Amino acid sequence: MEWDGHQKEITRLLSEISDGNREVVNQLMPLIYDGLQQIAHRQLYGERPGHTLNTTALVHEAYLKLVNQKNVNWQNRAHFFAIASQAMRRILINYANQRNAQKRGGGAMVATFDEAAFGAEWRSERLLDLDEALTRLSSLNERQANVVEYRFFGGLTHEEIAETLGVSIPTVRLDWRLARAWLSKELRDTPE
Amino acid sequence: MNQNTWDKIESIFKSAIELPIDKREAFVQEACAGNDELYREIMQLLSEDDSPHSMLDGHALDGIALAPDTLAPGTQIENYRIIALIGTGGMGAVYLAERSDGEFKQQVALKLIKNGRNSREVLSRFRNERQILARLEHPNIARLLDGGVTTNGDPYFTMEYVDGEPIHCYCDRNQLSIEDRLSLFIEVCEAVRYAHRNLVIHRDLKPGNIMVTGSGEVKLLDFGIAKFLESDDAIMQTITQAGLMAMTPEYASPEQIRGEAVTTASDIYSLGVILSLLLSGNPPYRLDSHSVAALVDAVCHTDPLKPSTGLFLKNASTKATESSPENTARLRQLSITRLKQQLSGDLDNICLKALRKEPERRYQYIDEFINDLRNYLDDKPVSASGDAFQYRAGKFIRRHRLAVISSAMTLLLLATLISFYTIRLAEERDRARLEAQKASQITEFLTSIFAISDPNQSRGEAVTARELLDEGAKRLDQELTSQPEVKAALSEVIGRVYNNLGLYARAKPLLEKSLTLRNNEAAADIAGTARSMQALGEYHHMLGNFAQAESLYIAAIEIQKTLEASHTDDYVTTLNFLGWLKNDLGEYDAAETWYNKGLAVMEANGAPENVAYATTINNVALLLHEKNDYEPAEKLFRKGIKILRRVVGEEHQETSTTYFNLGQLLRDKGDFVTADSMLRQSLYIDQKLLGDDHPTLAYTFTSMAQLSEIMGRVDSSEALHRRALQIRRTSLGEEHPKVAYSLTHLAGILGRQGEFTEAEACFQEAETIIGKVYGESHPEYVKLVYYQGMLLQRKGDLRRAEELLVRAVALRSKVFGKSHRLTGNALIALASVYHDQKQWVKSDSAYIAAAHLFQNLFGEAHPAVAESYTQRGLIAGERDDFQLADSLLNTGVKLFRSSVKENNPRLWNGLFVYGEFCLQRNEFSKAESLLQEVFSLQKQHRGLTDEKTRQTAILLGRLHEKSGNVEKAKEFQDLSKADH
Repeated sequence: MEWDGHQKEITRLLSEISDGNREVVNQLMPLIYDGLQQIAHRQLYGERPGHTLNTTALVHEAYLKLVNQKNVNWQNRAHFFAIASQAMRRILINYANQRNAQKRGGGAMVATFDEAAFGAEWRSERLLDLDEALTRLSSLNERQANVVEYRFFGGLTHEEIAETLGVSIPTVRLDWRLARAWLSKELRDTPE
Repeated sequence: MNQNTWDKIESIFKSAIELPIDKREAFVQEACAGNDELYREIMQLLSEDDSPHSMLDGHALDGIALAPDTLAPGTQIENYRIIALIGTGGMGAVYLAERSDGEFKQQVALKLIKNGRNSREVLSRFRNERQILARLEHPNIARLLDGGVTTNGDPYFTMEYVDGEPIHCYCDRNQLSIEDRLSLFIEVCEAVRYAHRNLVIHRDLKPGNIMVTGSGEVKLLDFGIAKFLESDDAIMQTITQAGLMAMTPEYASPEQIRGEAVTTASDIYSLGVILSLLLSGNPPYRLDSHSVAALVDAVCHTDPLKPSTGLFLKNASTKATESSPENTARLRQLSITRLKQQLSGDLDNICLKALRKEPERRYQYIDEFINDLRNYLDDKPVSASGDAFQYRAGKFIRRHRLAVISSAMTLLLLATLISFYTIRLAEERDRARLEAQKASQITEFLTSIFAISDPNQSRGEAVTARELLDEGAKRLDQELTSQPEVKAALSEVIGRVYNNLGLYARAKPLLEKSLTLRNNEAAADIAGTARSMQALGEYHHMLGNFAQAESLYIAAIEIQKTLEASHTDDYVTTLNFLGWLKNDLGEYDAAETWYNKGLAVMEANGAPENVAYATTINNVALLLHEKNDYEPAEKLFRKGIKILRRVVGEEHQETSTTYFNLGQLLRDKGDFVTADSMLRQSLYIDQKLLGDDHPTLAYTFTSMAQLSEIMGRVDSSEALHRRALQIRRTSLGEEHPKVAYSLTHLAGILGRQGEFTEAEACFQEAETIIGKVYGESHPEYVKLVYYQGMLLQRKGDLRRAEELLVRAVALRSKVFGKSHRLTGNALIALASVYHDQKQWVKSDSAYIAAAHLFQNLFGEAHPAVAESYTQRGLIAGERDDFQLADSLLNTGVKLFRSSVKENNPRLWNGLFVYGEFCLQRNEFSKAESLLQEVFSLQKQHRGLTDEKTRQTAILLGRLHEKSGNVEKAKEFQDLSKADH
């Protein structure tokens, strides 16, 4: 099975990450990105009609699929979710960019999308604005940008975020409220 | 925007949102101190904070809903016409349809697969399998009729249409007895057996696929369907079918969850889950959350629950009202006690055998499973219960109850069985009382020998008595196999003693053995079962496995509340332990409820003036102490002492314990002198009763040491800790957890004196002990991480201190919850390290979080809340936000005043740093009044030569120097140089 090799490698790398090895994160990112993209692709391109897509479900699905649960502890798990959130952000931004390009070029829309997906159409541009604003935020306070990334793109709960960042839940909550307020203001400033 | 501005925005924004809405604007205005741009920015952020945001309030992928396309009635699919939608599932929708090609009118269930897979591949698989599936002709298996592809390219299947309801609903609606349920379940198994013989595995057995028609006929749906829909990620389908959280693969076997090979054993596992559900009303897992991780963990790693235990389970996934044990029993036309009895033993064993994690250890063929079920119904031995001779004999006797009396042959046989099976036989022949008496004599005799080893009774000679105990445990393992009741009772007693000795690894197998034995007993001694549950619960409690402890306590209580008054003491004991557990978890209200229940039980039984009553009162008072409700706690301790003095007199252990507790309370309340005398009284009684080296004395020495530390007598504190340590080493052995506690305390006091090397060595030794006894996720281990973090901070190794404290916060959040007092303590310690590292933002938010936590738990007037304000004030000062700093420091002092007595050094420190701040800001009169107050307090309680007093004098000297009062400056400078 195609996943097996990946799974072994990802699980092994995750268990090494505990030593805070940045190199490992760099190795993990493309692997998790690939796995996540395949799952996300299936969902984004409407292969499962009749369901509301769900960020949390997607990331957890990726976790179950990409990681051998027997061999990881909760810290590894937290790292996985953190990286998956970042991968998810990239995937969605690529996706939004792609759709925007198609729109501008007047090319065909992705055929499997029906009316219900127009919400997503409207979103894809806003998603790009958010991405830019988020990048600006990370230069002001990286942790707050991380909180947004984990929550919005990764669907992590505050509890999981706190675990990942090694801070308390109230800190995450306060960070989130500040970041949310600021992004909301920034997005309001850019014309819709 | 630059970093600096952002940090300012962050700090003001975060403080503002903590305030009531109407106070925010004024606060922001003040905090921005005339910086209009900053003010506008923050006010705008606050307004954004209050308004909803369509995108940010969701997740990146939410709302990209894809249209659920269901077919309208009348739609034609090849030869079938849709009549109505029956249901939708993950893979697609199921319709009631009708064959419309005129040949014959037949209603069918039509399953339309919408999973985007390669439909041609699905179809070709279907065609391959179809030959086999078509052969499945069994009255209890819904037939697969046809399959094809719609014009859209979606594959579909048609099946015999079954008008019925899922099996568990059918059983409950008709209130079927356990026997009737088993008969129905055997029919299900027969159908599965038929399929297995035809080499077809179901792969997705669940109640929803096992229907019972109105006429009571079982029909299994979807046989074999899962196989050709399956691809590389079968389980992913199941998990994501209806959105991750809506449906869980509760019936899937571990190997299916892991994506390993699926065999007939996988079906047997699913049947085991279904049987557990039918018997006990619950699946064989405890699910505390709906997360996939929790489920995967439950299925793959946690031991399944026996139905007789599962009966008392409250799962996150089941509605509380429906799964109450009362209701479950009612739906089976039994009382709870009877139901538990019926499930215990064979039925438990049968389920567990089907539910083994390893496929090869389950029933190898479904025939074996069916045989065991039939044997159970016929009162014959079941293979799952093992084949010990006595077990078979017991079965034999019960089965032939009538024959025993009439047949001479049987009587002869019985005579040979007597030596193996005295107790059971006695029960069978109604001579139970006599034999039970014998049994209880044995129990008492052995108990009295073993109890010598309990430190509460051994007067400190536990070490030699240990050998006796170990010998007893060893013999118990080999002997008494023919007297399970006695063996169970002794295992319980020895297990309890090991618990008290802190030898948990030895306690565990004994307590588990005792519970298993009692559970297996056909005519179960339920009172004994409950005691075993309580003792095993206590074991888990001590090891920090709170969830397990709780469910055992509750299971015990469920039994004990139905017992007669002679078991009241057991009942009250369990209630007390459950209350204690809740107290440990910081769930004070729940703890109080359980304690009060215990008090009510005793009051209802008439004699509240006894030791048990006083003990419970004592526990309630401890709880109030922890909640900082000092006055009512003190009242209760004093009431307890009064009762005890009357009932058992002054010189008694219980009385001494209550003195000790009262002493601790008074110490925390700030009444140091009375505290000291209470502790001394306790010590006096203990020494008289127990001698000088009994481990109980170590508690008192420890508490006195802590009192000395607060009173600034570091030397005597160290000496007392060393004394306690030495007592514990000699009386409890080198590896007892209490030795580790003493080492920890000693390390703390050594750290305070800057003796880091010895302190670290103490920690290391403590860590080894605790790691060995409790493991590394136990609260006590976390406590060590926490203390060591603080030691390293003191030593100046901030990087490692941070690392440890981050770990301590995370671990405590996990073990106790995010809003527990102990989590808050770790958070404050971490905040302080961040402070030392000048990580202002991190430190500030940690303090905010801590203040929040303590405020929610104890209200504003708590020293930890005060401390947080004071520290945040210092941070604000460091960041040049002087207005904020002033208001925070002021609040800190105010809260210290309302939460601690004036002799408490924490108040002094609050005053001191505020005074220092005012001095730096050249606010001389304010600074003077604050510093003068500290100085007077320190002078009064610590004297002029104390280091802290001297520091205050220096600061006062500087103040007067700065403000030009030369005379006073000189006066304080002289004072600060007072004799060393």
